[in-house]
Amino acid sequence: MADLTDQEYLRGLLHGDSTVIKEIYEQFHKAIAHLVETNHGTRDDARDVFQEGLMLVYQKAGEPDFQLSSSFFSYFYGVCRFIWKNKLKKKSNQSVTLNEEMTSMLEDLSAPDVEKQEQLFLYRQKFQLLGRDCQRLLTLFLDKISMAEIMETLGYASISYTKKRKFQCKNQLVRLIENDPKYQELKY
Amino acid sequence: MEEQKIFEEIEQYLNGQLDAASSARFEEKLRSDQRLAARVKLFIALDQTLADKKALEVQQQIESTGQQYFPRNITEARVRRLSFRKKVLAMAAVLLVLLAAGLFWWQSSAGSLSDEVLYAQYFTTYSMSDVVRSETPEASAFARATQLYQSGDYQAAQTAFLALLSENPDDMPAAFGLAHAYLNSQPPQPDLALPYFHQVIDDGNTAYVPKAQWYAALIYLKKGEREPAKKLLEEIKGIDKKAAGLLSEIR
Repeated sequence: MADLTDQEYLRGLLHGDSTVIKEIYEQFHKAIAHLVETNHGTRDDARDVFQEGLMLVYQKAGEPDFQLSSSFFSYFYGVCRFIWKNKLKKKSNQSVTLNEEMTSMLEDLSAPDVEKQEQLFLYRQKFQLLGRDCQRLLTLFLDKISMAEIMETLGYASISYTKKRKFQCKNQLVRLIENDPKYQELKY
Repeated sequence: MEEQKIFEEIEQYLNGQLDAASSARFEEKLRSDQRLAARVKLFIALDQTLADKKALEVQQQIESTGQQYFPRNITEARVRRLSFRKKVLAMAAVLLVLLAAGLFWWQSSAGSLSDEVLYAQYFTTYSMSDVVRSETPEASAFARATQLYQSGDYQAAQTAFLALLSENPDDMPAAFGLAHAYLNSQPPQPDLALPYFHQVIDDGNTAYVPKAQWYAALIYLKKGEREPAKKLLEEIKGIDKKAAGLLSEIR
């Protein structure tokens, strides 16, 4: 795919368009990897920063008053830089400096904003590790579907088994989250 | 069961389904119990996060596409883990010397061993090498989880065993593996391991039951709860010499 406009990148990301997301990786992953790897980070750190950054852009772009004041890449790069700066600050006293232009471009971002996004990212990531059955069951509960309807939809034998299964699924999710060291870092 | 009740109570509280008195009692508990307060906070955050299905879908797309561009750097993780492991081994060696010296002093002066020391004396890391699975679609996922456990990556093994259990909560080998992963993590998490050993014991249908009884007994001992430990050891003393030996020491 060649030469997408900034608005096409944003629209594609907002729609979860797999072709556009692939193109964003294709175009920008080396730059983000370089940013992180030359600033005390690893390839795994770079992946986390890239993906959390993309989700942060997705969230911001979904806000009604969002205006892209630069190119998509400049904004995305700035967001990733902000995330990495924040992570480094928490890990140690090392930091990445942001120039004036970048600071003004990212004025709607704050460290609590970024950390909140990191939490959401972690919760969604762990939810996706659950089995399909568990994901479906928890989604039905979130949609406020009654216990009796869920029992019928999922073919469970009784209400009490449905309750037990719901507990098991939620318990697995909670354990997956609580056992991740990132959760302990982000908790407070 | 206790854990299930807590989960249900949190949800009833959040959904406004508790009556005024129960709600006030719950809030009182919240003020004094930090773990419960953190759980409530997590439940609220989870409900909000997972309600946004579009975000879930987009993140899934981002993560799955990313595997091609940012493959997991296993070597680096291993190197970091090894250097960490070296430090842990060095610390463990020092602790072992101190423990042995303490044990010698304790045995010669007090004549009986504390439950904590007995635990340290009897506890051995389970190898998981005899846990086998039939040829099922889950077999390779189980093999991967076991590999992580055997490589000493207990954190990753916990995640892998939990994922298997979320597919099938009655997967006893996975419950057994998860319990051991908790027990061997740093720091060890015996309170998290215990319910999974009990799940295997209550199920009663696998060859792991006596082993689950043995490790559950050790956990009770570590917690200073001799009665449930004795009860479990009584059940296996006929087939396990170590159990008989430990039972005679704590009677």
